[in-house]
Amino acid sequence: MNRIITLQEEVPNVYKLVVEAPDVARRCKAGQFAVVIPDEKSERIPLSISDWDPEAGTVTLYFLEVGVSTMKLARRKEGEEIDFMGPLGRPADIENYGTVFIGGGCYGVGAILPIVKALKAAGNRVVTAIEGRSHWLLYNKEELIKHSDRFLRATSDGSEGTKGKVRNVLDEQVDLGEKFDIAFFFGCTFMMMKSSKRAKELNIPCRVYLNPIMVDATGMCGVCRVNVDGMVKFACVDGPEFDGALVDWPLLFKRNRQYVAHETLAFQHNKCELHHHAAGDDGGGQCD
Amino acid sequence: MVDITMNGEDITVEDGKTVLHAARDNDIYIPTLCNHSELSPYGGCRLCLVKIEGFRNYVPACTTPVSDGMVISTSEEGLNDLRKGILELILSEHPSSCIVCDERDECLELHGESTKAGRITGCRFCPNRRSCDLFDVVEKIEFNDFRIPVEYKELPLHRADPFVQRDMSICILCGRCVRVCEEIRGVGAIATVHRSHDTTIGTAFDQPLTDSGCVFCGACLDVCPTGAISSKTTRWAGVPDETVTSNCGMCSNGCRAVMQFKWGKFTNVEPVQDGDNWGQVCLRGRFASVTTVNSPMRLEYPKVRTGDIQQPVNWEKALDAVVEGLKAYSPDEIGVVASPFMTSEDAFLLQKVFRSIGCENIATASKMIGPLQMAWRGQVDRITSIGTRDDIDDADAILIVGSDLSLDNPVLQTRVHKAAEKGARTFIVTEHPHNAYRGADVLEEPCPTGLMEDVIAALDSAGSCEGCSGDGDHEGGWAGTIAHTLMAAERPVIMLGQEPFAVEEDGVAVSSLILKLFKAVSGKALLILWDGPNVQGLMGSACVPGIGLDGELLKEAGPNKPPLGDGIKALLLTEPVSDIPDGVEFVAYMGPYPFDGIERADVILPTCTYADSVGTIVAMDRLVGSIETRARPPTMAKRDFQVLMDLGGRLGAEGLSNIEDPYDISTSTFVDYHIGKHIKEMDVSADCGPVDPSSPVNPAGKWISGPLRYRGLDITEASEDLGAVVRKWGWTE
Repeated sequence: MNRIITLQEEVPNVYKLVVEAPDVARRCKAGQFAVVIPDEKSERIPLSISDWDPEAGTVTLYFLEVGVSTMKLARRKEGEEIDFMGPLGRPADIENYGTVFIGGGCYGVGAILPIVKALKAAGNRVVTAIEGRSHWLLYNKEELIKHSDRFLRATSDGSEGTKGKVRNVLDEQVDLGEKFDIAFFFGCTFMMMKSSKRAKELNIPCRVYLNPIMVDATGMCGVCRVNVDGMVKFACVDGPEFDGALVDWPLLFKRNRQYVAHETLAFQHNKCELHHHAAGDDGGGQCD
Repeated sequence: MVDITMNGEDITVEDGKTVLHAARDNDIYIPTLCNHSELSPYGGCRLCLVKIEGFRNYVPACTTPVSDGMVISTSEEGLNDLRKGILELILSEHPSSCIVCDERDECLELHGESTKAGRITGCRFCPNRRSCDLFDVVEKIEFNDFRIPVEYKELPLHRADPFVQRDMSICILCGRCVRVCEEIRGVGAIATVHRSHDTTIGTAFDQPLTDSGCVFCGACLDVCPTGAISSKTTRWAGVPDETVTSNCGMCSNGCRAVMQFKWGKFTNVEPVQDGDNWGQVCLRGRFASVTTVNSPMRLEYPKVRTGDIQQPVNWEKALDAVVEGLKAYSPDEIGVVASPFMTSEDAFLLQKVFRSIGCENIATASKMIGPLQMAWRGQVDRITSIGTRDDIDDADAILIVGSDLSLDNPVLQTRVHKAAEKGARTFIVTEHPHNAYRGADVLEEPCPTGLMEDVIAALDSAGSCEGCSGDGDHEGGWAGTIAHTLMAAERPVIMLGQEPFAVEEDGVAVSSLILKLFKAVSGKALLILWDGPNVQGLMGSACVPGIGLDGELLKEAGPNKPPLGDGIKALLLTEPVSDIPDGVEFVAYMGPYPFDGIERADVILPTCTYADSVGTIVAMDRLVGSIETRARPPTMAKRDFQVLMDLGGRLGAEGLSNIEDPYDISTSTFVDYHIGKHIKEMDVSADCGPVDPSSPVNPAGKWISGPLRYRGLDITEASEDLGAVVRKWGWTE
């Protein structure tokens, strides 16, 4: 069991989780993930690792509340213990490509940080772009600015930076004469699919970090299978990094919706927080 | 009628209607967010501004009544820009980035369901995504871009309340929820709180809803034009695959409701807007029902006992085991219990199968029937309510004995509230008083027998009280006041709840006194709030000792006997009973849930709930309703109808060959049942003749019933939120 050092809502629905896990912190590499189990009756949740500190023995992750298990995780308290294992997955392909474009959205805004850092350290010129639906959903900006050569933003409502998404930023930069040797995208499936398509049209190779449904995360169960270049790959051990141009996106969307009925009906029987009717605040309390 | 001109067209409108009504009646679109058909005009959102000749400013259509010769323009140049401006202000504090996102349509297509997040930060994260009144207005007035900065309010997310989640950061302050709570439900649990920019919808002093007087009817979430107030348990189901208008089967009120189904499962309940239940449902029917029906506790496999173990088997083996088990006993030794949660057709089939093998020991699991039979035999021809729920609307005095309606028949509260508001003096005599009534006198009485005796004793002096209007207090305390009020009233309505029937003797005594009182005050309606959704139906299905198939009370000692007495050695239960006698050697249980004592069962046959069955039920005021479904029974469970047909075939029951579906039974047997109509009411002045005191009645005392039970299951176990509410209300069974 691993102690929760920090658990806070960074922007609405996106939580920053810092876990005490010295063994994991010593071995982490950019692009890897960890599995978190909020309590003994929860699912195993794969979460991308956003930062680590081998000296302090801590690992930082950002996650989005998207269902019963992440809701339970978000309701845990600092100082409590959770099940935590990692690092898992193949590390990202880091080398000196030249000029790289890194796009992050949603939980990916937090998750791109190690890739930004590693690519920068490998000698690349790093252009980082993050997207959100509105300015109040953008976070981790200071950290990303620190490690990027250029830092750009996009919002769906145009309230900060470019109106649109990171791929609109990519377009803008290309139009301005910027030449990218490779692009990395980290975010929801929709964002990665659309961004990969755009990158392909612009003849820029791209890498994406897939987030299929996953159970054991060590290559045994095969639930996280994805189709890349016509071949079955397991995101947990063959990925999560893949060539975005080769991913079978419609299949991934279908597979991610496989348990939508169970995920939805699970809310009917979730007993979280019902015994805690704290006045006016956003609840809290144990799940059972 | 008045003549007006709208957009150049001459139209005639009923006097008293508003400009908005006139426009709607003539298919002219005027945007609005705060207006709702069930609520009084409010004029809050200002989106319905129109130009009327002779008026200095634009005026809101929802609060302006039409007058003769009015010349109105709803689409004048500049008006739409004005509305866009107002909408922009509303949207600037509502997470609306998805509304102006270029990829909205593609996103909707690929993300079939909303993301099940905690806070609603955009349409993709909103439970109301596919049925949003706000977005309808956005589309109609073609809003597509912001000129002013957008902000997120980031208010505390209220997710610790039972059943309901409130995300006030997306609230547009239309006030519909506040008004429905106050105007329709008469509760006033929520209001606009704080001022100016900080204004939000909340409870007094930000208390949890359980402390605010909320009755958890969910009316607020029905009228919310956004997803700010939503059901915690069902909010993410999205657009249903199928919907069907059906009766709710949780209580005897028989509300029609729109049942939603998705993935073969029961996913949500919404009220029927123009129905007998006034566009309302309740905490049991809306919230606890879905959780109960989909409960992981549901029985899914037929089982047969081998030694100490109840072993899952296939249906053939289970049904054979029932036949085998019953064969060992003579028909006299077999007892059958019918569940008042079954449809009339299923109950009729149950007794038909067992009567065809000569078994006459059939009774219905209702605590109320037996005491009512004992108290009323000889005075009435049948046992039903008199009058209908509509009589509450124009009642001038209401007496409710043995219920405060908050759990038994919560939807009736709406009518009682309206009647009380119109001036009907209302007395509620209950063991479990809550704070849901304003304008009613609530008397906490664990046993109302003494009070009722005093009321009857005071009737004489009340009757001779000249010029008495019943108002104010009278001699004799509450008893005297109730007597005076009822005597003075022209249209008094009396309701009898299930509380006194917890003890058989109290049930008999109160029933007797209530009938006496009803006759003495020439009551307009006497409503029996039965302890099951279809108790009334089962009394017409030959499942009650001493009552014939048409519901008439039998005068002579019939062949019926209560099924749990001496000599009973085998039982077929469709509803659990407490304390199965030691003498019973074989128990077959047919039902959807386990119960305390299920270990006694030799065979378990998993059946269905109302949300996965089909048939007819009769509500407390004799209203016939139908149960329809689009859900699949869980795993191997089957409908009661199918199980009884299969069992009947194996037992050699006759007359089943011409039955293919439940409605074959209703059309041939319940000829007086017409869905949406009332069955015959009891006659309190019928010449019933002498009664044989030995004639059987439905046994009382062994049944597990109550407002927190569904087919024997304690629904607070299936719905933890309901448990939290009833604990807060101090309710114990």
